[in-house]
Amino acid sequence: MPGIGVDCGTMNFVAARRNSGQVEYKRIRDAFIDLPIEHKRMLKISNTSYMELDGKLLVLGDEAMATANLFNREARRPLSGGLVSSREFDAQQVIALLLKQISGDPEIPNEKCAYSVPAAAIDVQGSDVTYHSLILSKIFKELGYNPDPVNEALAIIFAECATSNFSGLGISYGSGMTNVCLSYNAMSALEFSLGRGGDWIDNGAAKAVGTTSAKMCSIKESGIDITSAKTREEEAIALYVSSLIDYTIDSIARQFVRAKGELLVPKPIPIVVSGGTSLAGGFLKKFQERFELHRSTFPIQISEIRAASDPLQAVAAGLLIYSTMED
Amino acid sequence: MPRYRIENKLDSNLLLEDVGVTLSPRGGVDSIKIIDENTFLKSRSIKNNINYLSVALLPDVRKSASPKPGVVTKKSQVSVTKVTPEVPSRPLNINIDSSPVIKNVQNQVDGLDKKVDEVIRMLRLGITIGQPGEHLPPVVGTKEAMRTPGYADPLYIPSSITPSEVKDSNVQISSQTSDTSSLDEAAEALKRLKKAKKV
Repeated sequence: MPGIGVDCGTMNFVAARRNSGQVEYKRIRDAFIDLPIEHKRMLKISNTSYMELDGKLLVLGDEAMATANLFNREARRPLSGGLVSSREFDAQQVIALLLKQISGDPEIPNEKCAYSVPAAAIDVQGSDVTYHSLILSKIFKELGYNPDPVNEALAIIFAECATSNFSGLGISYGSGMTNVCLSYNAMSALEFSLGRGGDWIDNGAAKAVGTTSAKMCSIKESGIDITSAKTREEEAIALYVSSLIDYTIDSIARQFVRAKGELLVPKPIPIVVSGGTSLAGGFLKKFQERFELHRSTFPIQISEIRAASDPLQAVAAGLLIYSTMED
Repeated sequence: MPRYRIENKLDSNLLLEDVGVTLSPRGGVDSIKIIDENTFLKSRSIKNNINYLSVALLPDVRKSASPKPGVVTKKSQVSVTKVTPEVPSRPLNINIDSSPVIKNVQNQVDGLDKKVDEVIRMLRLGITIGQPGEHLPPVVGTKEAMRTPGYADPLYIPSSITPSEVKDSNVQISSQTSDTSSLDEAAEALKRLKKAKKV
């Protein structure tokens, strides 16, 4: 049965589709920069791909980051804090263009498209995902798909927890937010998000050492090991990663205790850690260390803590599995 | 000019496009706006979303002449716009006479005074438009919100988002392929589980 899974993250859009007996993942950086039409010639000379829309040049994806550096500007991110902004219509158009690039045309009319949505953040006042979800749904409909929103942390369970009968605690450490889902037998029992993620680490660490968050982001993505930080910058990043992990574990415990009357997890379940922020070297080890400090008081029995097989593609893979299920 | 206090009753943002404001979900800092009468009456967004708004008419704010010392007038109290605790009615300064005619007049005056106080209290609180105990849309999850007819109405969704006329579309995408075996196994396991649940 055809179907496509699309992870709509703050940092990356990733689409997964079956193609000739394999799974094909297409990824594009969720960023853009708009330039005046006068720069068209220069972009052609530098062989930078661009789009022309309403008299403006749009450079999309990874090339937007490089072009932004060239012009000493910041690349724009169409999603803010993990969500579509209702105030920026041109950003919504860019989201549509990016999704069109990675999704392509549907294989059959009205092909099912499972796309990721976050849960409402428990620590952001007035957090609401309805508008975000509706805009993405509209875009996929315009592209010819039959859209179906799925919680992104639940998608991790679909991709990674078949051996535990789709029971587990999925944690997606994204750029804009952290999503958590407790699933039992493929049913979401508890889902929420936190308004802290990779951007929060970058901003906090940048303030701590007096530099820019863009620089901290590049240090973080350059392959540092947070369990053996060597410079002031790396130490600041490691400190904020630890803080985010503690905050996540505390929040899960609090949310579970709050809903305990309605939840029953009879046997130990795994924790699966995923998302781009979890790619930092030593992240899983740090998570395991911090969890051991909380294990005695943690309200759920945990069998193991492991990383997703591919933290950047796990959500898209889970969504692809879900999209091929019959209703 | 009278002003109107509008408050978002939804748990989601509400864009009033022609007013140029987005009301944050109810209870939020920006969930309430005060707008003038002209804007209120002319706004199509407000008319379309009236079921999702709590509207209150605020009393006209005008500078009144300062009352003479020792004289307290009802008018000077009406111009207060902020909601404050109800002011207890003051006893009338009438010499009590045992005459039944005077008692009857005093009772009537007392009754009128209570009515005036009630009107003042209403003006201070603002006159609420809408039925008491009006049914609010239930708090629902993303999927339910999308499938409940009418719930999405107040949200501003552009009629078309995907640009149709794009020139020179050539964007670099990173592509990667992997074996489907683990994915197939997971899909089969999920199918089995769903079937078992149905049985």
